[in-house]
Amino acid sequence: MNREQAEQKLRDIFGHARFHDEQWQVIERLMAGERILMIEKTGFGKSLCYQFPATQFSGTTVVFSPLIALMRDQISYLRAKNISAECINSEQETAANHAILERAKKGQLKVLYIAPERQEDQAWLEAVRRINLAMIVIDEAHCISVWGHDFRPAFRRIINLVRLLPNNFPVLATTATATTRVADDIIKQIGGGVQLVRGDLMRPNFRLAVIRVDSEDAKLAWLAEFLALQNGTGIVYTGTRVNTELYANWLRHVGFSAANYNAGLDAEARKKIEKGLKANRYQCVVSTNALGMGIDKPDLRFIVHTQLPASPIHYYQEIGRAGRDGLPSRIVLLYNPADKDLPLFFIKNSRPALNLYQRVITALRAAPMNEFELMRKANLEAKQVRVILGDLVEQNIAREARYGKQHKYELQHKAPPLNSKMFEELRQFKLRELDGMIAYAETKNGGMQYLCSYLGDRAEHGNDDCVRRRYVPSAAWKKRVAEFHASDYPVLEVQDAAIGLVNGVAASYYGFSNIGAVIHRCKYQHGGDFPDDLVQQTLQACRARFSKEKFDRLLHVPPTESGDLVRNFAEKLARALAVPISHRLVKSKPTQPQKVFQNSLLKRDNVKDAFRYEKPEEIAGASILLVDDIFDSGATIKEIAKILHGLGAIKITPLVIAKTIGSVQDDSHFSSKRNVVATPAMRQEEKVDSAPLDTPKSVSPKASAPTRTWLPDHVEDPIVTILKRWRRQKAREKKIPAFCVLSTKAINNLAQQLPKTSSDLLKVRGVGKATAGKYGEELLLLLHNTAEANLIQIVDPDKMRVSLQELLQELRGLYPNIFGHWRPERNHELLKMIEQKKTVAEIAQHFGRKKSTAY
Amino acid sequence: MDSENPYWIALAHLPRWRTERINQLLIVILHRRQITLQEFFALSPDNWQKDFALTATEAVKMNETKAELPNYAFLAEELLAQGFQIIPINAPEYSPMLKKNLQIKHAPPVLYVKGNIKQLHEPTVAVVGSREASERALQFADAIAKKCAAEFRVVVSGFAKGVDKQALDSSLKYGGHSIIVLPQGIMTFGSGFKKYYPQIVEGDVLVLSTFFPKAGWDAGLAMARNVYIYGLAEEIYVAESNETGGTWTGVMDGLKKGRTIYVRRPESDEKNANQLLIAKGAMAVDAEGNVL
Repeated sequence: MNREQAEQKLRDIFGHARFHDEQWQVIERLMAGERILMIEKTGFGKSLCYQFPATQFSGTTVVFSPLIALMRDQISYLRAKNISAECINSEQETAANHAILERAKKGQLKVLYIAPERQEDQAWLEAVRRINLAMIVIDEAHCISVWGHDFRPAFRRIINLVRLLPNNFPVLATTATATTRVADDIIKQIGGGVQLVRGDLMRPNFRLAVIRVDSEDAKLAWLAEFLALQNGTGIVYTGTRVNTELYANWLRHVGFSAANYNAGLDAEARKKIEKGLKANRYQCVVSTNALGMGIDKPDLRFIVHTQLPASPIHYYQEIGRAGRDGLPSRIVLLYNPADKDLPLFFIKNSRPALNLYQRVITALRAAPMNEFELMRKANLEAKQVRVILGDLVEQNIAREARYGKQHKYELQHKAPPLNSKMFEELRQFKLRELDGMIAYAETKNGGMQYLCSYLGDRAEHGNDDCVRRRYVPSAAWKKRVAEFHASDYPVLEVQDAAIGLVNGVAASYYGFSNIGAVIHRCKYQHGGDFPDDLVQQTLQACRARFSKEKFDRLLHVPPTESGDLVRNFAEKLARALAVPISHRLVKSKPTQPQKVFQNSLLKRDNVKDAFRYEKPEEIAGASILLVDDIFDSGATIKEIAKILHGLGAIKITPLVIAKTIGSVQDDSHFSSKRNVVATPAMRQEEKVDSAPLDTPKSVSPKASAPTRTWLPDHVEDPIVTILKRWRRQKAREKKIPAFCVLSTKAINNLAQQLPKTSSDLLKVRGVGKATAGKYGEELLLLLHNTAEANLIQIVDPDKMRVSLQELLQELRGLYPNIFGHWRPERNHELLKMIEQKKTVAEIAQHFGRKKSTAY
Repeated sequence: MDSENPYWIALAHLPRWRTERINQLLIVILHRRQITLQEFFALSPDNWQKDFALTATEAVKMNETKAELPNYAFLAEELLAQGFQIIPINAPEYSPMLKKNLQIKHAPPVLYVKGNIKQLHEPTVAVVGSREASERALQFADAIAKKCAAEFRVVVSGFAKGVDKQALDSSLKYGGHSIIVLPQGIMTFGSGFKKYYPQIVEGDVLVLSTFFPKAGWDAGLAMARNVYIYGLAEEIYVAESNETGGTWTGVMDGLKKGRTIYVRRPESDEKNANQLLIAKGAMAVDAEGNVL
């Protein structure tokens, strides 16, 4: 078919007059069975490049796309052109998905859209073997590359699939955002002679601006002034979920219709907001970067970033949603130089500590497990487990496999050791990308040209204006913002009518202002009762939210480790509110502090059946105000509400000082000075930066190599366990007795001395030249990875510090016999050892020796 | 990852093609013409008939299979994602013992495996016998497995109940290595992978199948896989046999092919066909596996 013939069909089927030259270039090659990577800006018409050939091929074109909302829009479009198209996704009923697969098997579909995660779905995999396939399309192909801004592990399987397809089977990969490095990576991964077609990325209808401010409050004020001048709708991007609430609340406070959107909302709520934005029910949606890829609205008139994105690619992607209709659109970055701290924090904390990887590997060695099972077994947050599993799969250490109907993760036989150097490489890469974004914000020149060039479009596009100015709010705006802060209290979203629980309120977010620091000082550093200004702030929150409520009784959550702090606090509140207080809500069994547990499953288990009320008749028919200091997952509040409701309470209303949103990686820690010592993840990375790989030591042989303290006899050193396992595998491989590989004495010496270099290795008793020659490299790598993973430090000046709770978690995992039933009264002793920079092994030895008397 | 895997799967399971015919075609493609399977499939049906001696009917079937190659790509990707490996007959990892014992007539074109593939190159011993095995037979299987573990020899087991399972479990108990030869497609083994997961991860067990990956358990496949158990083994030990059934058929077939087969000498009170097998040429061994 030549171009003329094709354009005739284009007119007949799609109603378009002709192809762009680049479109025809791609279509012609696909029709000849070639593979193409197409990088073109949003609004170019990439979809036509596969939709047209799909109508010409016999068979079904399968389009892998991560964007459910866009799938739906595309299908509506194709059906309107009488082209049979369907999609399979998780938002549809299983029966509906199966019916679609049946149609595909019968050859009744020209285009089938499917999410990459479906490659794990049995029904799909069974069906696809019987579908007459014509072409594969990979949408948002930048998700293939770890060097891209939105790597998704599910795309790995798509790449593997493409590499197994016959060479003359047409494949199209499309994206609007890929740097040269990402494009090269995609081409390398797809293989099979894939060709690159790259168009220009300029968006001539964009009006760019960078507004320099000195504070978050200035951003709030500017935004209000800006929105007052806008006619259309748009998106305001923030860096954190907390800020989506804050900004949306502010905009509503000053009279704009705004919704907040983030990945923490359920699917229904997100769909509702997406629909509302498309229908212009909101003037703006305030969102994290969770919104953007899911929206197909051609007339977004502005996009404002209140926080520095992680890179120019992220920025280009996020602003790319604006002005698809070609009309002028305002693109604004609100920039405060202090803003770089947040993305820096996320980069540094993008990965859990290395010892947590080891926990997951150890758990998987025993049995295949899914994410929930790993969360329980390894006591990790969902996000930590997901990141760790993603890395383990990426490095071919683990894989996801099917066990019956379940998907579980399993270790690979002969898995390589964890390559933590790759993490450092990625981290450095992300830091360079952030520098690129800071350069955009701070440079005096360049706007769209800078962004396009960064993404590999080096063409000269002429006009490259970007307005750059400073903004200082007026006194009137400053006052309005202050008034807003005084009245904006975080909501505790726990409503559950079945147990009489209503949404509560907190005086502040943990980490905003200095509330977190004050609470920490009182709870963990013998700072005394919660001060009166916390009482006042909490009272204000309560009165603002529940001014019309009448409470019959005030109860407080019984403490795990903070003594009478909450009780005394509750008494002050009760007096001020003139509500009778009761101290009869007590624990029916001991529990651990909730913060020990990293995920909601374990938190729930921890408090299950843990409370009772001593005089149930007081509760029947009562409206209860339930007070606590910190709200995290809400598991404690919900458990107590369940019990009180069971005793006849008609309403339970929670009231707390501060609301967190979870773990160390959570943004809520970020807005104030951090009040825990450096986390292992961050200190690990700093250590990698500064420590030379091979530190020469001029010491006499076998005498003064650095040593670790011996552990108590009843506890096997975890490094010895690992070395013994390695020895067993080596003996089996070589078909020789284990002691011929390495003696047990040598193993013990290695575990104690932890040699870092070949010369250190030769100084270890029991390791001769022959052994070092045969196994030296392997041993050094094994020891390096294991030592890092177990937080065990060689006695040297740069020992690492950890927070108390992190250390306790670690100690429990390594030495359950010693730390399994830890008493909080001994925290001060443990804190002292941390301050003295004792190693994990020394701490274990100290408490292990004292075990018989202390416990 | 080998991009030729979909072609291997397609060829290995051509409908109504015997193993020998498939292997003959492979020899022509890979050795005589020295082209890849991809290049072969890129040719036309006329080329296949002219240069590869396919009949007209075979060429039609081959063309149908060619159209299904993208679908085989999905299957190959699924195998890869689940951690299975595909070992074609021309791969260095393929079991040399299997090639030697089964030759062009019966050597499977493709092995589907999961676990420690080095075991395919280690000395191997098959321990076979009845499903309804006596206590003595099970003890014999245990003794052989123990001996194999001590001598670093791999136990090949069919995973059937009775002697097969005993040999496998004993091998693992004594710290030995085992190959499980499945009577079904490897992707349908399900609970077996969970049960032997730690051993697979540690490298003590290799699971192997020669059948279409999604084929469910089938009595016919159970009989068919005996050939491969015997084929993988250097030595064969028979714990107990009846006068009919898979064990009897396998031993008789092995004796016909001149294989060395060791059969446990039965006690006087036993009612099985062991003595008969010894009379037909198998070598008698005692309860510990020592030649008598």
